[in-house]
Amino acid sequence: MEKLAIKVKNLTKSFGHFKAVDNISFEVKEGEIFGFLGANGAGKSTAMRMLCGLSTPSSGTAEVAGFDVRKKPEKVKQRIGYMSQRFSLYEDLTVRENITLYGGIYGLTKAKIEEETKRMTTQLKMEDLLDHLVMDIPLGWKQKLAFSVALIHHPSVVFLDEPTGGVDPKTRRQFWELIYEAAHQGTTIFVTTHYMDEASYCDRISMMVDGEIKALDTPKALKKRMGVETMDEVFRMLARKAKRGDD
Amino acid sequence: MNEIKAFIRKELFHILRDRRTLLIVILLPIVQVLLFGFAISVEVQHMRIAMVGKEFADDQSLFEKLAQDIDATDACDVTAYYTTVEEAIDAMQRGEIDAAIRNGSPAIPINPQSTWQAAGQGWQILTDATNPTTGTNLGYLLQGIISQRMMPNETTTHRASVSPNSHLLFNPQLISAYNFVPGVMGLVFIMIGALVTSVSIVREKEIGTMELLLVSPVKPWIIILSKMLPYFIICSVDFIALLIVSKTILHVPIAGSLSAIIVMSILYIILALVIGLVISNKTKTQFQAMMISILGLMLPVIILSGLIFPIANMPTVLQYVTHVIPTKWYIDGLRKLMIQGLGWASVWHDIAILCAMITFFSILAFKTFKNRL
Repeated sequence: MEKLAIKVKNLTKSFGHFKAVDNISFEVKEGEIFGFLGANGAGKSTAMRMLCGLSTPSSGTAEVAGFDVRKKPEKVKQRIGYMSQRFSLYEDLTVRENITLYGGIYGLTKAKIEEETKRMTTQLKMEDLLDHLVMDIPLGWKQKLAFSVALIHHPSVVFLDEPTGGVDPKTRRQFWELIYEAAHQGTTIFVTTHYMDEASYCDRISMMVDGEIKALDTPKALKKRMGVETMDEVFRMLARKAKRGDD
Repeated sequence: MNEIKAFIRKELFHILRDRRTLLIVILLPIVQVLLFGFAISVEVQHMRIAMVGKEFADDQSLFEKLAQDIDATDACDVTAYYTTVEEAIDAMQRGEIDAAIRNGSPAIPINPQSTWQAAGQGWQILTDATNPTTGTNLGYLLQGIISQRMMPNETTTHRASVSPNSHLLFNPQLISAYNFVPGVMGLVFIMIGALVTSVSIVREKEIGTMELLLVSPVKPWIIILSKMLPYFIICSVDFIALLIVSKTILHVPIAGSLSAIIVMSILYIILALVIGLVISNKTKTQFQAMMISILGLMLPVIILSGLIFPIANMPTVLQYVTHVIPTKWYIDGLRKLMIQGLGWASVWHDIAILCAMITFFSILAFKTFKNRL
């Protein structure tokens, strides 16, 4: 049996009468690239926040990297990486200072941080930018760097919240190469995205509509089941049934 | 420990690279205290006094002596002599003199619209009250000079006059800087502790880095503590700088217990930081944090703490309201320590209230912080 990286059962988050996440269940295997899709307001951010230990579930259970998010949030936090759609590095720090900070946050030793810095910048070909302020480097670079920094402590699961927002297609491809590489090394990738072409890069995807998961399968199987050619159409067919508006 | 170090380093980078904030937190307090000390002064200085009607005076040598007395003070210079009151009033309207003094001989006609103050002994003082504070102060000052000159002649006067003999204690020269220094300190620490700190915490929420910190295994209180510590250090630097500036440039007598001044200031800085934390917990954007800090905190502090307006002069209801202003207690204690020269025993009350406020806001900060997670 394959090991599970994420195990979610009947997870619900309600704010008053409003159920932002309504009784969702799914599992993600280790080393899988799992696409978490849904329109704005469908509840995917809320679900993701619960999995990261940022908010407590109203009911249901979620296990991430082998630990219950409700009972052992610190353990979960040790084993996950996180990169937000909003840019998550400090603009007024240099590349090196950012890496050092996150290394320090995750309790890496000085020598280890140095080693990671070297490895990271070589991989991203950013050696020359090491002592530049982050605000001075192009957005595409920043995103790639942010991803690498999120992996600095070699987490078993990494959460990417619309990581490629506002990035040109070429850089997006490079970004996905990084994702593939990380997945290849056994890191589980949990990614939300707006771009449907990216959805087809995932091993499996789930579609959230109105707080519920309406579809969950490989991109290929979904297209086949709906009888359409592209992921875009799959998304539109499912989203059309939504009762909640965009917000 | 490593995490705290990493965080504090990062925070120091933020502060050191943001020149504008750095300027605000280090330079502004000193500029403020100097401004309050020198520019915004309610002291009367270099007032131009005109002597009127020497020709008509009963005793011309006394008149001359009085002019010398007035000229000898730091506050006043005798700049003109006039024959009639009208000339003096004209000069005052042109802005050439600030006050006129004449011997109250009826030979000089008095303009019915002018505000004359009786000064005893038939002397009369006319002051320009365009600025009421200066006008009144100058009037009292001149009155004092005149009655002193008249004192030796008391026995020879026909009219028995009762004139109050008042002494100004602790700040006999009425130097306003003495009063303002504790006030400015109270304001500065609120500004840096509450405003700058809350904005810096909320900024991280706004740009999204706070989320990243919260998903990390670092305990939230460590994040917050390492956010507050650098600002505590900055406040302490400001405190030392302000104390030195006050002592050397403004010559404020730091007469009381220095250790009590330090302890009170540390408590007050902690209180400001904790209030800043509460504000940051309650707000989502830097703009909100700034508005709440300025309108909800700094404005009441400026108006109700006794920094500018004496609390004793306020309506009773407002006087009760001032009790909840932390700065009031700090200023109250600091004035006792710095200017009245009292020791620990006099400020226990203020210290106890500051401690109570720290406890209250810490609990509030703790509760609101938990809600956010």
